[in-house]
Amino acid sequence: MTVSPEARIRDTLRSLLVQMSPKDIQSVSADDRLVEDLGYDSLTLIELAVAIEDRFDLPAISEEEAMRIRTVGDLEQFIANSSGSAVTGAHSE
Amino acid sequence: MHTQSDEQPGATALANAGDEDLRGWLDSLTQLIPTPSGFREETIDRRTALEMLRCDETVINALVENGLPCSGAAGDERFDRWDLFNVALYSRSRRSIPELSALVVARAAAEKPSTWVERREVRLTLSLHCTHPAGCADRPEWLVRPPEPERFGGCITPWRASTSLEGTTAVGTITHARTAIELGATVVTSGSQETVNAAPVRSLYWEIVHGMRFQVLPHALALQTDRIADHGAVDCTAVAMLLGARCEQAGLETRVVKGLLLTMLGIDNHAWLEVKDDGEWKPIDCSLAMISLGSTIPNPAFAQFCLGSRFNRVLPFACPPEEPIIQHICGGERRPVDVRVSISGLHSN
Repeated sequence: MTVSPEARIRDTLRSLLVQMSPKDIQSVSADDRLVEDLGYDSLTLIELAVAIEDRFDLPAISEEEAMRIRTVGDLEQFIANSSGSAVTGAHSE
Repeated sequence: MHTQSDEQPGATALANAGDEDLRGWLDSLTQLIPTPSGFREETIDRRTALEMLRCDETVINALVENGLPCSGAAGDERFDRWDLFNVALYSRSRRSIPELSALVVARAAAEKPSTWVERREVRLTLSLHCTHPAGCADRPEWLVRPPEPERFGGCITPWRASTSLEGTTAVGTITHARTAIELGATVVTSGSQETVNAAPVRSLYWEIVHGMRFQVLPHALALQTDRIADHGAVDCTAVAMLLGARCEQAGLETRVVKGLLLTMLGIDNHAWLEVKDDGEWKPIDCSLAMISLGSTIPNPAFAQFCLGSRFNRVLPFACPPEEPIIQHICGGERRPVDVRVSISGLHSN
């Protein structure tokens, strides 16, 4: 079975979000909010930004960009836009 | 090997450090200017060090083997908190808190110059915790010095607190709450691009920015201007006071100003120098320039900006340089307080 680039981004990101979340969570959905639902604070958000840049080979995420991202879906869309891949169905599980 | 000295730590096994991450830590160790005796506090155990550095035992073992100053028996070492902070700061691990704090500053410095002076509106939250080992004692008080955003062309709403605010005194806002409190306000900041024209100041600024190393220091050491020049490492307070002393020797009027750095990982005790130039007080922020120039994304234009310009990530406070912006008193004594500065809801234009 071939995994599309979009699905690979989504799976990799969600795995990273689960792994790095300060909360003990097993899965995430597109509508989950990074701060309120997944427990990220300013420090862990910066850690996450750095990890995403490394994992997806992205340029540095600016403070303004980072502060606009509120949900997992926003983040998936941001990575897709930055890496040139469209994440279709980012808001569905 | 255990050392407890002011000597530059060696790096005997550096050549054997095959792992790139470990190399970053050991490179940082070779450049560390240890906290001098008389100011050292070797109280941090291995477990706490691991949490501070956010590394594994391999890193700690390698640092100890290669001369990170410490005391105590092997496996039960005690480290100086500032040495640990400063090793982490330049470790290239991209994980330690000191490094991430500096990374946020360096990234802001690497952005377009227009982003340094644009109007920004943020929701500021100060999370304050009493860290007294025996727990927060009776008659707790929290004193927050008055913010002065208008110095940098901004404004701030009154503090809203997680407990009732008791009022404002001549030195700031006082509130009473046991153990912890959260204060919030909406802050507008803006900057302005200027420069300092006085030739002696410009010369002294570049001499210090290029000649000193940025490290965090014990506050008592940072205030000893005579000693700092020989020590070779400065933090924001130390470098402001050092440059101030030299500018005063050159006949210029100066003052040290304190404030918060309003980045995603805010800094609660920032300081910079202001110098009277052409009849106007102008800020000179050596430490932010040094953080940018010492980072993996150095920006000389930002270092130039720090000589006279107002940076829109800074919130000045009315606070003497020797005093903290936020104080906590419980049991009738001043106690250590953990301050976390965070911002959210950024609007800029």
